[in-house]
Amino acid sequence: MRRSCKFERYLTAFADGELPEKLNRKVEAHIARCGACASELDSIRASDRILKSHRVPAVSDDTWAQFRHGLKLELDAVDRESRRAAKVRETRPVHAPVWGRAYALAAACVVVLFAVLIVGPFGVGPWRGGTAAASNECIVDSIESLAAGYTPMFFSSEDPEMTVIWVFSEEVEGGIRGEGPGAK
Amino acid sequence: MRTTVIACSIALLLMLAAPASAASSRGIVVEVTSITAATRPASERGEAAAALDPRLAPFSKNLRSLFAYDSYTFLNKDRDAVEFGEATVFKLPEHLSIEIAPEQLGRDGSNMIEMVVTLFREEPRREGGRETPKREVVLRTKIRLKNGGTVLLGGPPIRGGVLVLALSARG
Repeated sequence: MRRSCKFERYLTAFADGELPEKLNRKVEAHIARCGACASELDSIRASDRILKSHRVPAVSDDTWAQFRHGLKLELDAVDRESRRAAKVRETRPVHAPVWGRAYALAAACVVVLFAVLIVGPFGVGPWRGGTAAASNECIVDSIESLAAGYTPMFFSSEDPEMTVIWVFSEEVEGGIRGEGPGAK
Repeated sequence: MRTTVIACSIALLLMLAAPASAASSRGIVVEVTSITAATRPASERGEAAAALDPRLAPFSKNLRSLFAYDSYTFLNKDRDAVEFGEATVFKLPEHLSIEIAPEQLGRDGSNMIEMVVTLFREEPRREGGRETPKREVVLRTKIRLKNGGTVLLGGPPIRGGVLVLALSARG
């Protein structure tokens, strides 16, 4: 592989006479002592001679018009595509919050619904759990029976925590466990 | 995402604040479960434990440990919201009814519901060729029940046993 010389990049411009004067002198001095660059310069000049010997093919006005028209169509298509892509990018941030708000509202409704179902005054949660979870503390301030043949009483149990308010009827035998309701 | 979090937080705050303030300031929700308790004949009883309707599962421990009946049958469950100072009535079997009149909740910060519970028996009587219902107060009691708690009432004979009521109240 040929090792490239740092002056090689200036050779084309040197051949075309396009280098500034000071750089031109430097490149010229370098070529005088660098065989590789001199050889490369010869190649470039040979190529230039070959290109100059060939005539540029003439292009008719119709061909140019056709080319311009085709190019315009292609550019318009690219332009439309890029505008569409830009519109999609712009649309997202505009619509996203609208959907976001809808989702937020729906989520809030779900939370409220669960709240009403579980802990609301008509909630099913506390009732479904029965008496096990809730404290059943009950204080009886007064108790009476105004009907003949009934005797009211009450008692409380600690385990399970429960108060029983009972009216004994002359029609019913028995009582509480031991001597109350149902005892025989 | 941030909007969702904010909306849910507000909903949760409302959820926590609403039941405590709104329900307690206006009234309570009461639920009455009606049960028939009976003692089966010795021939049907055998060695088995007390027969319990599956719908009475929440009360099974209380019924089995507090009473000596060996059969408990679910009759009905009813629920109503009632404001303080007003009363709600639940119809029960065999001309019986229960009236629940809540008075207040949380006196002295106790979280107890004060209410008057009255058990009526209404029997049609024929007087002078006209049928006039006679309403008797079988039981009247004033109680303070823990908010969310349950109390058992009962005793009146009904067909097949005695009536037991599980009264729950929540403000």
